[in-house]
Amino acid sequence: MRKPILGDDRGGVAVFVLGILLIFFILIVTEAFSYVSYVYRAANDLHNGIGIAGRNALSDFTTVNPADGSVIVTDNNLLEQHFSQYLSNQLQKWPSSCYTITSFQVYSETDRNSQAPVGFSTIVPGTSIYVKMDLILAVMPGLVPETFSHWSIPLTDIISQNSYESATGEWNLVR
Amino acid sequence: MFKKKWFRLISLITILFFLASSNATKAADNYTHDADISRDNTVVDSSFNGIMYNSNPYYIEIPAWNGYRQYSNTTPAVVGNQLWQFTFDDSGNGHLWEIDTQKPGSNWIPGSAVSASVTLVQNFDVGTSGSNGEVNSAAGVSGPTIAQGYIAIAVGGYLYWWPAGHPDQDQFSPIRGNSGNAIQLIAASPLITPPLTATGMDITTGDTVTWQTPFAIVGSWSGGVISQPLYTPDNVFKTQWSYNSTNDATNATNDIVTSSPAWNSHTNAVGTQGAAVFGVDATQSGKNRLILMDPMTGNIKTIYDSGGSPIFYGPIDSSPAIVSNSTSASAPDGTIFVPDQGAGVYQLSANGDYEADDISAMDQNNPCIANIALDGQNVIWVGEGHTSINAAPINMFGEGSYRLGGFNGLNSPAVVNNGTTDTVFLASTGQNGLLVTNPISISNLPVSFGQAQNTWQTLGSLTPAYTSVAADVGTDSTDGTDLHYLTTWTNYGYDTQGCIEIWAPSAYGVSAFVTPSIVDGGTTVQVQAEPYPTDTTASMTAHVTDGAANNFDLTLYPNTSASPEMWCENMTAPENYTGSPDVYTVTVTATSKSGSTATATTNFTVNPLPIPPGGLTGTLKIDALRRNGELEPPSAAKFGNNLTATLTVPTPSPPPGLQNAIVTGASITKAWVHHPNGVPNTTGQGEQKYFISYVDTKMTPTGLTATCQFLESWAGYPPHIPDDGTVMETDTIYAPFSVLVNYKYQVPTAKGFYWATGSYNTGGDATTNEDIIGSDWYTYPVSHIENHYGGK
Repeated sequence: MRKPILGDDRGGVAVFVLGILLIFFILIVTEAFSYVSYVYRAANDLHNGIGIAGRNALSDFTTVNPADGSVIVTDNNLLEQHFSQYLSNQLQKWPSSCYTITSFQVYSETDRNSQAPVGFSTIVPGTSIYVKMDLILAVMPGLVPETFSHWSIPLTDIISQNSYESATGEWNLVR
Repeated sequence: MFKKKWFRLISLITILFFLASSNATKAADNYTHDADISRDNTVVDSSFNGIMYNSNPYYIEIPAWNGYRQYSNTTPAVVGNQLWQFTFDDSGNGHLWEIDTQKPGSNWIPGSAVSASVTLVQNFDVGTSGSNGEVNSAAGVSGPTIAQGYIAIAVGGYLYWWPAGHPDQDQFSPIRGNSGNAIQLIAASPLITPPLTATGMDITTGDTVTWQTPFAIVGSWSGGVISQPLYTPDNVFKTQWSYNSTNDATNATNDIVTSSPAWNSHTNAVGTQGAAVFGVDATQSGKNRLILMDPMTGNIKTIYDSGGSPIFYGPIDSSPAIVSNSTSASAPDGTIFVPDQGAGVYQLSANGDYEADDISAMDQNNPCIANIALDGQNVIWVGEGHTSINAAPINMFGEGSYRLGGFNGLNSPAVVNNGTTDTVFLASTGQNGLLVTNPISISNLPVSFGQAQNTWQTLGSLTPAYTSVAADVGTDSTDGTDLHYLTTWTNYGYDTQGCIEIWAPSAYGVSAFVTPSIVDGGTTVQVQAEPYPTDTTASMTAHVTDGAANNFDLTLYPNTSASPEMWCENMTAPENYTGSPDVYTVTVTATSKSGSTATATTNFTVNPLPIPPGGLTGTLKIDALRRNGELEPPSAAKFGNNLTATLTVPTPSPPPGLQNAIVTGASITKAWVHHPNGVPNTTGQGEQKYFISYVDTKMTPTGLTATCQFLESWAGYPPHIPDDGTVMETDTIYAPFSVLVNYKYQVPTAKGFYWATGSYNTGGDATTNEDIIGSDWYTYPVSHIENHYGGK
């Protein structure tokens, strides 16, 4: 028995066919990477928006205890409402269907060192908000073999508020 | 049909019972306030929007006349700026009074008598008719009708009339009823028709002549109804027409007519266009019927049955109402609605053909003689023995209605329609007060009527009204402006004299008080507020401030035992460390059920905290220490600084008048610092970062100095940007103190002197101002991206 040999006279694939396949493969990869780049930019914008909205909302609805520098949230409900308003202001050019807040959790100083919620890796530093959000992108029909018309990409962000004492350079004394 | 006969049987028994028991039950309600011959009890007034009324009525007393006090069963008739009130007395006389209305002047105080121009216009012989010979059992219950330039009134078996403004030209005509029927009582107001053609004979020529004149039509308990041309040319013998209840029923001698006729210009069933429409109380014949009568010819149409069955369950005592301004195809203008004695309500065509009825509020065992109201879209009536108010749309009459019960003695409804909403006014003869609905939608009245039940305004009254109310009446006699008054008559008003009661519109307002008005700190004061009109307030709050750091917000609650209506709340007066009286301004804000607001301001004074006499002046110095040991500039502090307060008191003098007195020792016995204090908002609610109040921190005395420490916790955060020492606020901080002074002095003796000792308590109050220039605490937010998409 002879071993079958690629390209032998019994019907191997011609080299130019392989070349076409290679070009096709490169096109797919390029397409895929351009999508990755698009997703990267979109997610980055959303992260920025969440960060700004969270920082503004925390400034509005936290106060500092002058005795120990601990940071106190004055109103969790208003904090979340204003976060949503700030976020929609930040993302005015985005259709609201592009993102949904899936989880908004507020932690206080007494939660310090407790385990972060599922999806976050760190421990809770103190007064902070943990936001989970889905970025929803419509996928354009193209070369990418994709059966879904939308991608839902989870984003997770932490915004924490800490205090600083200017005379001594001490941070929040309870942490 | 069994059902109808059953009701007829019950009603017949009821009638016989009431006939046997009292004549007064037949006092039909005469509502003639705007001389509206449609008798629809509705005033259309597009300017009637959001009007609230004074709870307490003004009243005009109709004094005892010739020593006899006055009674009436009739709502004042209103024409322009005049109220016309018929009264009668136990001397057998009736009187017609004219009262000119005017705007409330400075002498108009709600709840008080007002002087008004009251003119006695006409006297009548009423005759005695009560079972004991007194006149006031049932007689003289007619009211005047003023229209077409004439005034007509039926009293004691006669129709009287005269041209308006000429009571000296009065004429009268007997209302003849069934022969042998001695009852000559009146319980109806005349109808004055538009000008019609009267017929007569010229006695100088014998020719038949015709002329145009309004007619007056009115019936009596005699069973007779007169049709009277109000003008007859000289030398003309007029042809007179009348109706007797024996004309169209057998054994009808005691059938009576108490129903004030209504004018229906859409009828052509009795010959020419137009007819007077009135009901018959078929006391004897049992043939309860409605009559259409042509005033010019005396032609009548008797409306009794439909398809062979009787239409009416009970006697027709009240006035029919004729639809006008209709928007309904099924009940065009001219459609007749009429109630029976048991509050069954019937719809008939302009020519008297039965169309529908509503017996949902009917109770023939409890007579409910009251007129109905028509606003063009709805029928509104009281039912079930004067205990319920009912409404049904006229385009679906008989198919459903809304009923609101639980009342007592409700009289005929008066409706004011402004084009889109109705306001319904109801006087109660059974209890004090006048019920007023908030404006309710006319397009969906039965439903919104139910929604209105929690927003009734109940106006006060002198005593229960004796008649229906006339709503939205009167113009000012000097400038003609609308007065929007409500008016009714009460027999037992102020000083048990008969009175016309008048409710005038009121702006929504509130007055406020604090009791006691001067207090020591720590005692309870009560903020009290009286809204007016009463029964219109939904909520009330008060803001209390001394113009400085002491601010309080109170919610006031109604004091259910107070009369008039009062809302109140207690608070503890803060201590006053200022050394002089501290005045707190209290601003009360009341919100009405319709959303109007009103405010009132009052104040109370807190006495300064008593400190021992002496008036010593101490020095208070505050050092603001940063956490790193540095001091802030003098008299300045930042949020988060530890403040050290040092009080220094100079050595006091010994008491005057003692020889060579010397202070041997003096020390502060008690001192404290009264300063603002901030507590972070840990309530979990609101945007407020700190709650600020004044607190006392006790000082530790050492001789004539005392110290204490506290935290600058109330101001400066978040700091001014840039944090450049800008003064953000200045606080006055107080340190009251008392001092014990020991002294010695020389007491002269024969040999010289000896030293004696003494001591006294004195005190004072030191103050200082502290500038707040920012914060040593800052906060920084940090955001951190957790997952890899877009991660840094």
